[in-house]
Amino acid sequence: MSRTEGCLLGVLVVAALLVGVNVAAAASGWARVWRGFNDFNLSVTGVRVTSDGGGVDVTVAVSNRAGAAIRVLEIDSSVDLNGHAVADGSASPDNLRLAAGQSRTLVVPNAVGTLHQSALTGQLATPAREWNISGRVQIEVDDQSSTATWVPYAFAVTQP
Amino acid sequence: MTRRRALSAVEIMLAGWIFCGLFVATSSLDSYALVHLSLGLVVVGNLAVGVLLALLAIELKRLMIEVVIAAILAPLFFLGLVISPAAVAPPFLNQLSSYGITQSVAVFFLSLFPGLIGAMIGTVINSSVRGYEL
Repeated sequence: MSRTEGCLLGVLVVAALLVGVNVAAAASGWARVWRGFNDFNLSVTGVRVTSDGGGVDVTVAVSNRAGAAIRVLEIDSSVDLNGHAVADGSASPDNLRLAAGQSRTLVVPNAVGTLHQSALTGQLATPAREWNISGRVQIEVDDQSSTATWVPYAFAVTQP
Repeated sequence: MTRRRALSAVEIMLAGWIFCGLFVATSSLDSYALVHLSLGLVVVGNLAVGVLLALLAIELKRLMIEVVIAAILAPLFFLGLVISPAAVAPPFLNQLSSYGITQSVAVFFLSLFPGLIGAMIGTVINSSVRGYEL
């Protein structure tokens, strides 16, 4: 290997090392964000039909088991009762930021559409009710809005 | 011959890694990187890698093969980086894979074209300044 060749290869090696340091930092942060998404937990704790029958309120508990802060941006939900679609809705909590280990409860209002009103009334008359609530929640980790992502969820709640 | 091939393999791996690393500094992962680069700077960086490869390889056919293989390796490195969090967050493997595959197409072309142009510039330097025949 000539001296010039050695120098050129050296430049390539140094550039690869410098780039490697940057990549290592980026990859570590990237992994932390996705671990945060994985450690975010949402569960449905209650379903209640509003007094006027025009809506279904879904109570959800959100908790952050990750080491980083998680901000909840939006929650979408759709509600089925005994296999019939009855309502859907969404909530955009104002500044809901969960510090590491923190939990919160919030209510997602779901509107019953005119087409679904009879299905809701009919199914509420049945003795056993099985609610299926599914949707997705948009969260961001470490206040990095560029990596906000939607996480799907689905829960069944049985009421005697 | 074997030593020459081994050296080529090292050059290809390094060039592929640099192509990938430069793209990381301008992609979604750049929020966490120490240095952020604009797309223009990434193109300039990839051009420089092409020039370096040309100055090292000299022979045109070998140079073209090196640039093309490095440009193929770069998206593979990038895809590996993007989907690596699936090891700690398995439910997100599909989401990470689709993002990684989409971005890999950009990594490939962003490595290939500036890399080839840089290789051409390097070849001109080889023939005009260093006196090598094409």
